[in-house]
Amino acid sequence: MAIPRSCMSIREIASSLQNGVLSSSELTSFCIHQIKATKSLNAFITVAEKEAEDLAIQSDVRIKNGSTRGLLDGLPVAFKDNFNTKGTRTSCGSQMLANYYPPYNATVVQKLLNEGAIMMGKTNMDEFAMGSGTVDSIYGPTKSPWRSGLRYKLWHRNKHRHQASSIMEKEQFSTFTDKDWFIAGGSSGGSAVAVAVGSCFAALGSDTGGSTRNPAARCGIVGLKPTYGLLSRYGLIPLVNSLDVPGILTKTVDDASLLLNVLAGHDPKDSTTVLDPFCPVKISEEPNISGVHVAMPEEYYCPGMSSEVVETWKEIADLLERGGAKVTNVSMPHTQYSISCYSVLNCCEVASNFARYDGIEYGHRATNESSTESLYAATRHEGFNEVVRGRILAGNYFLLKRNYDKYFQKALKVRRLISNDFLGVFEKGVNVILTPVTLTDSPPYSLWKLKDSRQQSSIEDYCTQPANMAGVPAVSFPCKLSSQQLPISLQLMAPCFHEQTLLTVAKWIEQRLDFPLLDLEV
Amino acid sequence: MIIRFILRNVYRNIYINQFKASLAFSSNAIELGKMKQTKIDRQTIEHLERLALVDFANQAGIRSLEEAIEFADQLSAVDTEGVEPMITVLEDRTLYLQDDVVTEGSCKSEVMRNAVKTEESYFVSPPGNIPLPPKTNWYDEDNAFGKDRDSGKLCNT
Repeated sequence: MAIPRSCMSIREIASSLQNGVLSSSELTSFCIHQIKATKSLNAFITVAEKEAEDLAIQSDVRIKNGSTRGLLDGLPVAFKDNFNTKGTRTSCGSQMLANYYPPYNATVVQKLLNEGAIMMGKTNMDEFAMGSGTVDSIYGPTKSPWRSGLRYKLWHRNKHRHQASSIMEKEQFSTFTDKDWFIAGGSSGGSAVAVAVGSCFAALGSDTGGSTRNPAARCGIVGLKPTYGLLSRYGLIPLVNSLDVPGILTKTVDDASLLLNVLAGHDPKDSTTVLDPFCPVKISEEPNISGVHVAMPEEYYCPGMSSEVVETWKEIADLLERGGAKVTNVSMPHTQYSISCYSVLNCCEVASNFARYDGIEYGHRATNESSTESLYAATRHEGFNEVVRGRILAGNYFLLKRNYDKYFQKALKVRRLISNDFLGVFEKGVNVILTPVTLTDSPPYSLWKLKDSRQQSSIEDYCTQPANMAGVPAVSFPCKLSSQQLPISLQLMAPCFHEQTLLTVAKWIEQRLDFPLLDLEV
Repeated sequence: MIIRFILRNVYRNIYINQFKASLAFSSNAIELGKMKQTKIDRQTIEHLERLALVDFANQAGIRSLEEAIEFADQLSAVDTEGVEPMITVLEDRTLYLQDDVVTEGSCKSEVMRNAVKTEESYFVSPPGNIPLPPKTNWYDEDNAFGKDRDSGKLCNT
């Protein structure tokens, strides 16, 4: 059976483009059609339809002349709306930047464009990446495609066919209730949905506390958070400078590795990128995990975790063991403090980073011109939502001289303890750590909105935050569908700069699970 | 056999830790209950408002701040005696410095293009050194300096 177009891998697309079976223009048209057909999911803030068509024509010319730029030439991609894109509005989901048109491209954006990738548009996100549901954007919430009311079939790559229809089929695309919908995850929800439904074949997100891995888990795709310092943050509008990392969202582990290889490496414009030469990741078609030491940290089990998630965790550990890996329990005692540590460090860095938004040089400007301070206060009141303002205020509180040691310095020390937990585990010879990503499958919005943003983060970021504290690479990969027919994913973490091991194990698991891809009937 | 043994161990450990974790969570809650919840006084919030300039010195802002502090207070349960603060995970590397050579520039129009108000080649700002006026209705929710987000009305001008 022919692979549905939206379920093709990057290599398959490159091959089709090379062979002339498919043209870039056709592929771009297809993606634009997908974007329009899935408008109800609200994945995109800005769609660059005309620009994408022009780039596709150029790509077709290059391919025809035999001067193709590589595997990504002609590939439709999307960028989260906190990556600066020259001439295309970059809003961060906020009123503050709703009128901001960057004069430059972020380094990771430029690298993909240099390879011939085609930008389909900018995707929706929580305002300034503060959130884990993509519900706090001025452009409205993004909805999960799973059980959204849109009709879809489930495509199995290994079996090379659709899932046989069953009694559950009607359930598969029935919504929770008429007006309700399932959370897409955040804050890179738009990027995750765009990849999941085939509006693009790869997308960039950002990951500060799990913002790439969380929506990937909720949408049933792969979300990779590379090692801190591997990918350039130049042009990524910062949230927390010491934790932010550009994230990669794709349908398969192999696709993620292709993007990683293009994007990684020192950037002279970002002094926090490491100078080490980057060795591209090469994952075998038949990855081998015999002898790989996998650790399961006990503390990642926390109250509120559903039995389905715990079952999945055990099943995959079991699967790895049967495949020749060594699976052990370990303890990472400071895991539970990662969230409160994050709440302090995030607020403090935000208080500093967001001082730049004053309405003078760019962005929203209020009309209160009585004094500089009044203008700033008015601009920032109008430009930021309550989550952002609350964090700036809290950050300033924690940074007061009388609170500095008690909160900021304390959080920095706890950060070291969390990071040491990882070092301690890896020193024992552990190659990868296996944990859940989210505590449950996606909640419906009606339940989600009962808790406020801080309460949500403390639940949503529990398993993902520690990786940002330590800077280690982490990948979220889908495992199976829950009893509600929603994706359940797990997470692997590895020592810094060990993306090769990380993605090898992830691919091995992916090949054995054959989690289905969405084939929308639109 | 080995698999079942390991699974049993894993399951047992998870079960035990479920119990331990729920204990830890509830004892944390007890600890927090014992810990005095920080109350923000008027002087502090006005001081913070001058620093933050987010116009959040009202009931909602104070509530939000007190909750943030309560959440952060969990950190006091961690023993950090003798632990050095970790500012960045790249602390064992030397920061890369560029050569002091001009590589780009002459982009004045691009830089100024996004400003709402400019005059010739200047960004325009209202007069400085004027302190924020004190708020009239102190703890009111809608005593903002700017436009109310939902209604678009200008408040407190």
